[in-house]
Amino acid sequence: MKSQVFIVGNGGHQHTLYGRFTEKDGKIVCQESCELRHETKNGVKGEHHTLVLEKGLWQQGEQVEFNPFSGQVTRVWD
Amino acid sequence: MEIIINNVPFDYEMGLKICIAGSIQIEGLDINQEDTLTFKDIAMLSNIEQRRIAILHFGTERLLNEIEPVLVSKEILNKTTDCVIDGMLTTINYQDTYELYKVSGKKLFGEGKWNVRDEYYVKCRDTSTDREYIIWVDISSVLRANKKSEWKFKDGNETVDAIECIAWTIKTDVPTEEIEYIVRQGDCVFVKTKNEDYRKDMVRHISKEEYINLLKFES
Repeated sequence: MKSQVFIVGNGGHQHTLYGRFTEKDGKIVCQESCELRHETKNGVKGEHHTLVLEKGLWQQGEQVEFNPFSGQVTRVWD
Repeated sequence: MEIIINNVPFDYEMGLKICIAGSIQIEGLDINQEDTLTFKDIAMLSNIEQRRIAILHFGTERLLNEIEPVLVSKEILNKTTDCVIDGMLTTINYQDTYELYKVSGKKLFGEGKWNVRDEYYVKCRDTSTDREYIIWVDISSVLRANKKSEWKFKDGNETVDAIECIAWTIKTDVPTEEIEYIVRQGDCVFVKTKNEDYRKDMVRHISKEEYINLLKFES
């Protein structure tokens, strides 16, 4: 089973996709239902439940926030 | 050097400020010093988990006294999500509460500043961990994402709500009509597309309508 880390937070957790899929430039093709796990680098379950990415085409998005002091919009990091 | 508070690392200076504010005893750290932590220090932290911990020790009462946030909108959404628990696909029903607060620009940036606008943040509870977070939003951009007039808003003839603001935090380059649904796991977002060959939009913030209708699974 293939796995790929998509986001690494500086709290020590990462979001990893497991299953049969291909990825290029944030575009993912799941050949079957894949599992998105929140875990430590050692594979220990993180704080978020595992979600299923169904077979099909996926595009990575992002969560952002505003910094009122800098006026910048940046990715949310947890 | 880092200081670890509630399992979250902070740089030494900020960590010390939080320890002093929250009377957190850490071996080798002198916390008997003047408490200089401000809400601005916390708001400047780039990490949402660090901000959560800092506010926890800063104290809600102190926060309210310092910046006097005003509740603008409170929205409760009943949600259903499927997730894998102990290897089993499980359906969970839950309520998410989103509160939108306005903070006076003068309170936030200082009374002496001019030409400052009021700023807004959403307080929300994490679905999985039951922790509370605050996320700042660019209110002008929120209005644009929901096709609302900023001029009318400034004149008091337009409103904004907490769902429009939390929706704004999700960005994608997939056009609305090409989105089958959206999945969000913490700060990790994936958009399921209907077709392989679609013309990408510019990266944009999603609207309240997209958030309510297309965000299908969350954790």
